[in-house]
Amino acid sequence: MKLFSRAFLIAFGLWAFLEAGAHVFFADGILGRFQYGYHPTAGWFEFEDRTELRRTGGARLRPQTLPKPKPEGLARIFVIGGSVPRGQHTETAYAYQLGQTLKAAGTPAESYNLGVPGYGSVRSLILMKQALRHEPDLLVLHLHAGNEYEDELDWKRAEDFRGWHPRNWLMKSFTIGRLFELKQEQLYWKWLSSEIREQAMVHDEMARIAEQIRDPESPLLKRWLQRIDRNTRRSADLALCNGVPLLLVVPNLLDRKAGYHFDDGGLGSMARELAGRPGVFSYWAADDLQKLKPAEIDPLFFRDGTHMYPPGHAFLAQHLAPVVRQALKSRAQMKRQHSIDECEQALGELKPD
Amino acid sequence: MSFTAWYYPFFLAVVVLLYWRLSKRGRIGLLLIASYVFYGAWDARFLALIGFTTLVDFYCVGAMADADRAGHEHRRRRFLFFSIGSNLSVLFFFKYCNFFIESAQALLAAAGLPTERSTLDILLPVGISFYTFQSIAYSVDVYRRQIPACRDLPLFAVYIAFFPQLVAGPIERASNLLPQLERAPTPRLDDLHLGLRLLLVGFFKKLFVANNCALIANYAFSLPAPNAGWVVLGAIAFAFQIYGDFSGYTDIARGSAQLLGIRLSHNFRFPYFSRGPSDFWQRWHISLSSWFRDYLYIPLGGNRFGDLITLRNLFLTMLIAGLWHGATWMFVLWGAYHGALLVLYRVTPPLARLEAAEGWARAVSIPVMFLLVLLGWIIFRANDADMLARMLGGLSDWSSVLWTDLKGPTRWVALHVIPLWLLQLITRKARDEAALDAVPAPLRGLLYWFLFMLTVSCITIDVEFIYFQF
Repeated sequence: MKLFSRAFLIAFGLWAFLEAGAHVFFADGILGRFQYGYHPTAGWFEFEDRTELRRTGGARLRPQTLPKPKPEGLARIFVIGGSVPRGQHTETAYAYQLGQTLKAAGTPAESYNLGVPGYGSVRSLILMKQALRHEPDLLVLHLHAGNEYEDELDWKRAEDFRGWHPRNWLMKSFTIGRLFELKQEQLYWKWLSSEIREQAMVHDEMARIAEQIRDPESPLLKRWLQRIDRNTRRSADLALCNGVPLLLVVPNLLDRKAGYHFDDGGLGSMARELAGRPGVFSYWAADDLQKLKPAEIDPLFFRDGTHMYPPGHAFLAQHLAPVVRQALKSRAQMKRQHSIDECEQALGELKPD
Repeated sequence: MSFTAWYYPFFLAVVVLLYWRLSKRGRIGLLLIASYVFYGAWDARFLALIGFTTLVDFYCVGAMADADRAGHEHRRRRFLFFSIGSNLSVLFFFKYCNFFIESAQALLAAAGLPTERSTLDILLPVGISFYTFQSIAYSVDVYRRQIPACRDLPLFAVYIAFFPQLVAGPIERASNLLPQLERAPTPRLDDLHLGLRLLLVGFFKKLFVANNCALIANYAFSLPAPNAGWVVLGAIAFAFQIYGDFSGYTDIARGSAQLLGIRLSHNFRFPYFSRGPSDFWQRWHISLSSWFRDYLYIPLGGNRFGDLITLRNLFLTMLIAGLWHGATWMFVLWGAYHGALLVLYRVTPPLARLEAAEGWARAVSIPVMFLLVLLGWIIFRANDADMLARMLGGLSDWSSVLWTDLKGPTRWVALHVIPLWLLQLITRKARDEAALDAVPAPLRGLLYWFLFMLTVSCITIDVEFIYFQF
């Protein structure tokens, strides 16, 4: 009798083979996987002549290529945020449209879409840190109050994988972690209603949080707004420290039932206040949208009143362009205050508090 | 300490490694310490209770054996009654006291007499029904002169508190466990292989099957007005939850003991392939049903006094077996239901023939029995009469059944039951739910990998073992 039976060796060999195969053949996809956007460089692939943005397990960025170094005389703009700026396609989202609009109006510019579904203020800040290392002339931060929930949830999920507590040890295996994640995302969340999941709340952060935010007066919601406020101020500090202007895009939350009223998700006043600082700008499309008739607004927005169809993105790009030009002009007067590393040091660890 | 606690594998590994290295006497000491640590991790106060049971039975049975040698039959019997009485008193006080107080109060209230609603503040010690029954079995077996009295207190203490089977069985007979503990055999490599395989199958049943089916069962049973679709799905989910939970626990217990070179009894043999109620109780919780057979049904007269007394004995045994599961009238009702099924199958010749029939008749007998078991699980799972009425009432409401509501949960249950069913098809011929020796090594390796991956895909869903509460 041998210590290890043949069957055990086959089972172990199969697992080891798959594990090694994943690390060899899908190394790029593995980087930052199970960190759900909290890995600083996941999705950014550096080459001598270019930086490639890829949709990987660690960050589901829109695939784009940034020439390295930045072409002379071309303004580089990064649009950062969640699913709203991400849009349905790279070319129809307002980030790309903005570059085209600026070019057409005689301002040489290239703009990149750093919108990732579910990214709230914390992960947007992580993306901004990376964007600042790629010679930006302007950062556009699309604010949104609804994603703090996902920032929090994904942080907790990442903690499950990151920790070195013995109960997390199995999750150090990519294949096990991926299977666990796949089952949770593709089966557990899709097949079981939130009522079923809420009842089985043990280790179900999503259900736990969902239950808390049912109450509009929930302290959790207030805490999230405070977090957005704090992180947006940190974003402004970081951008200004690096000598890069920041444009804050305030959300347009359309309420059709309330007579096509637009709401700013409680973020407008904070954005306007920050825009008082030199180098910080803000824009709320509702100011322009409210001039339209309901029949003209309808084709711009999804039924959820938050996400936009391509015409909505085109509208936003068109109306944002003058503010962008103004922001780009201010770039000339701005100076880097500290090195990138020193500016980042002031941020500390980026995680939902 | 629960088998699914993250630290249990570490605890077990340390115990196994030390056990392999120690002398025979040292092994008994180690098992005693490990068992008390394992049990004390829940609530150290209850160690005193287990110590009390151990001491009382050790000295009672020792005195019983002395009386036997001296030819004092009365004295022998007195010690038996004292041993059984002390065990049942402990069980009654901790498990049934409040139940009887509440029932008496309800009865008085129903009769219009003034009552003051109050119960005692008593915590139910984990696994009390298991170790008291194991201890009673030992006393009775010594009394019946089937086994000699154990004169070694540490050894006897390990027999009562042996950690793998302490809190949820199998309820071991002293004739099986005591000699093995006494020998304290050095585990062999095939014990290691078999033990690990049992652990794998056990964790698969508990973490993959039971915990995931629990999500649907808990939801279905909590609905204020469930329709027939939810009742059926909830009952099926609960059937596999309780089976995966309890037989998974047994496999983990057997696997843990096997790593120490000790073989525990089988507790489950494909119960959902039963052809009738009698067959079911020979496959479900075997150690409990055989306990009731040997220490209740047979002493009551068994089938020795005619058909009517046999039927009465069967029914009564099942009624008490129901009450053993918990101090609520729902468990009593569940026991009565199974008692009635046993009686029904006995007095109805076509049903008796159906249960006995082999071959294709099983295509009818197995599904029929499964449906009857499902109905029993609805009674078992219902917390009270209201919930039971809601669930049974829901069975008549087919009009509001929407496939769109049930599609995801049904797929979820199927996803977690089908792999178990496939595993049972493979192991069924061997009559052991974890026997995979007949499977060629490469296929077995694939199977291990598959079971392991399925198990770890859901390791964060944490549901306590159902049978701990019994």
